Amino acid sequence: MTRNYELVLMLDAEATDEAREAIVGDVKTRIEGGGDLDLADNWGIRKMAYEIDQRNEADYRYFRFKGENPLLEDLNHNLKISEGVLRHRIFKVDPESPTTAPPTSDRPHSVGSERSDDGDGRGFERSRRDD
Amino acid sequence: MARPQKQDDSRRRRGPGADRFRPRKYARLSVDYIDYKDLTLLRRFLSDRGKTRSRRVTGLSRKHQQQFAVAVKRARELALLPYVGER
Repeated sequence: MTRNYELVLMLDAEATDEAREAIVGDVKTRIEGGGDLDLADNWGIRKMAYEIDQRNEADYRYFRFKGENPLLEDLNHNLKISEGVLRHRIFKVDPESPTTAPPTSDRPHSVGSERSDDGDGRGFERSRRDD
Repeated sequence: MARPQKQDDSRRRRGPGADRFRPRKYARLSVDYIDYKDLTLLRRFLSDRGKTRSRRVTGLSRKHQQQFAVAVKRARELALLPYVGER
């Protein structure tokens, strides 16, 4: 059964452009060989919320595709051993889930800056302290 | 999930614990799927430190809170959100 998947690649921003494009090209051919590539997006170089392999930034690439298990194993195996990939994740997603890139902010650490007024004030007085 | 919308104002209830503040029954959300890429939406339901807030506080429906929890975990794996926030 073919399902919808998303692959997010976090490439080493310090690797050369050619090396990064080579990985992306390889991933694309693999997906097209074993499934349907729906969308390939470049989120660009983003600051990460925490350090990975002594890097603070990563080049994020996003792929949305349909495929089956052999393709996923193939991708997983090859990305795991390829140089220049900080991290990769394949997520099973709902067909209706959005494909928009996450918003970039100058301070990825600023959690809670966009909090709504829901329950603010009296509600939080009663809730357990957070720290 | 189609529950009839109750018209109750959360502060109007009488009886024991009537002085206790209750958040809105269900936070109005115009999305039907909470996605890990929608960071502005996720941050609405996180504490300053990046911890997930409970349903009691967020006022999310069971379905949405579940999706929210998965989304936060995914976003953390991709370093879009911190595991440990800063103050």
